[in-house]
Amino acid sequence: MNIEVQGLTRGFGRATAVRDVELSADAGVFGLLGPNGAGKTTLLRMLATVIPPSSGSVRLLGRDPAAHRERREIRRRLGYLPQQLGYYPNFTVFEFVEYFALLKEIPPARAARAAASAVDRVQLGDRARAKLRTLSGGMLRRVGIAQAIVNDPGLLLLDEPTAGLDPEQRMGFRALLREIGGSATVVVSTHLVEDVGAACDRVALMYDGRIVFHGSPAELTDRGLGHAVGDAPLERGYAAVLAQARL
Amino acid sequence: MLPMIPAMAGLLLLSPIARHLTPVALWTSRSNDVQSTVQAIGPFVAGTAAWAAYRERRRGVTDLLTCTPYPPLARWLATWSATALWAVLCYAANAGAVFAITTGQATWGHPVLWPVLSGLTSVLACSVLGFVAGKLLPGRLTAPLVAIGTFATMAAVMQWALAGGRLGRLSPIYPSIGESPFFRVDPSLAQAQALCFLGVAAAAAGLLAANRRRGARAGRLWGGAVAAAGLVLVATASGLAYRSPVGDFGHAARPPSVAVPVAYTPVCAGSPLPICVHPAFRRELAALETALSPVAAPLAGTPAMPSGVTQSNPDGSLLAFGFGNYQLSGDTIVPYRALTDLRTRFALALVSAPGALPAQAGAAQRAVAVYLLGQAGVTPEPGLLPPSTVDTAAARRLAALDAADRRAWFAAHAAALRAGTLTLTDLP
Repeated sequence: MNIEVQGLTRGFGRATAVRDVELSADAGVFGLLGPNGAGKTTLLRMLATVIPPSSGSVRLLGRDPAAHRERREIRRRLGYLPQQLGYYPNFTVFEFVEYFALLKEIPPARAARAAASAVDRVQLGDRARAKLRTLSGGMLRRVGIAQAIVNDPGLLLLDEPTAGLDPEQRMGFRALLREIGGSATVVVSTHLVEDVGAACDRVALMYDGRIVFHGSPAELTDRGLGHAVGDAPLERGYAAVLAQARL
Repeated sequence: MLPMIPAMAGLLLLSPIARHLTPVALWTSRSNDVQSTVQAIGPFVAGTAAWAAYRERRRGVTDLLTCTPYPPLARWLATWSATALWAVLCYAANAGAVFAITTGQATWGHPVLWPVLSGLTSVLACSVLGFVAGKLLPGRLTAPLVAIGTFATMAAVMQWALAGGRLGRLSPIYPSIGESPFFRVDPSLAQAQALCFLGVAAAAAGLLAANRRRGARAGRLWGGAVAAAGLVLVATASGLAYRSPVGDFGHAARPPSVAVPVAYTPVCAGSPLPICVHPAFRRELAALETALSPVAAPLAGTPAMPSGVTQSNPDGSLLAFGFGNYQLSGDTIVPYRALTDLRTRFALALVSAPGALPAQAGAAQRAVAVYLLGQAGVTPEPGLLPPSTVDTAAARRLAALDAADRRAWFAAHAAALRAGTLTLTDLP
């Protein structure tokens, strides 16, 4: 298993953002659904080794991120797109992605090639020399995805990756996810259920810091049978699980 | 970082260097001048380093960078190095400019690098402190507060030194060597300062490394060890600074008890009263001769009067001149007011006993001094020779004498005049 999480809890002061989460995932695309404030971003930040859990255990790519040496190994094979992508506005697209290739310890001789490949995969090859400050929100999102996949990660964590992408770009992006998911574990946090239906093999739904559903998109759809809220079958499943969780 | 260059150039224009290089081109004082530019560069560098340290958070890339395997300390080192490099280049360029100017002006000695090194280490320490502050206390106001705080701290420690606090001499802007060319340079305070700044930098960097909650245990331990070593350096430097004699006597000069005189051959000019100065003051000799020879002219060839004037520096303070056995304390000889002061002291010294202070001059001596200055077209310095109708009247009587009679009177009475036994009634 590339992700093994047991009893994972994370608090910020008195508030508990993630509580007692159990999760496991292997290669494939894993969707993480939930309303705002459900704890998706906090869970992803823990999986990205940005913040440590308050309690519980995590194993990523077969290693323990609590141990410094193993954490470094994990990070070499990790790709992460945060919800709010920060960037240096004077970098070009290529420089930004190459910078992260080097930070991910890709040998300098290969970094430029890896960056160029990642930029091409998000269809920004023609804007590779453009300064980041000149790009639209959707393009910046794709730059973020490019830096996340530049090291061909074994574990790819994407927080709201399709925000700002137009429908055509989203379709292309889903195809990319499916391709990467063939060999790596991809976790996509989103509240766009159609992304999950189109690209994910497995899905978890979070509410109030807990995972209240874990299964396949088809199983989530089944949970919505006979439920009137929602325009699409998967949306009705999503609404039904949430309604049950709120009881 | 490129915008830093004109900004730093602008700051340098406000620095003591740009406003006035020391008027007499001594390598020692110019080296201290270079060190004093830290007053302008240090706060700017500290603020810039704090700003650079806060950049990751300001740009919102902290999460992205945190989840990469590249060690944060190495990343921070790269960021800090870029900031520090500009500061060091700026400091070095300024030092190069000052030394290039001085090469064309100085007539004796060579550059003294200890103050330059002290300044360099303080620039590095400022950049480390600013960077650490930016990391540990991130915020939009951190950079300006760090810059202001650095400036205020340097000034406060300097004030402490000026008030007599021995450890205050560790201020980066306290001149670290004595400037007198008559004595060998004592680098002890400059060494103590450099050691102290290295210690401060090490302590701050170690604190940052040790403060990382998720860093490798070994890294945190190393950080703690480096911080402790930095504090030991600071303590050692404090001890060295406390014991250093530099600055005990006047402004960064050495007390005579421990000063080691430097051998030199004076350079002389002028007739009939030769004026001899230390070769470091060779460029001032012509001005000195022009200023003093007319004052002494009426006494030329008079028995019991000085046969020459020699600059000496018995008390170790840079700009105190002793002519022969006469103690002349004055300021720089370049500005006009100071030149008047020097001429007045010189006139009084010529007619007074060896070693007598200007204030000890008697009425007859004051009157003759007023005459000597008047015939040279010099208005006496009021602080030394207050305007007096009695003195002026006696001086006029001397001036009214026939030149031969006046020379005869001086020849007959010079010894008594200098001994202070004559009164106004004894004057012609």
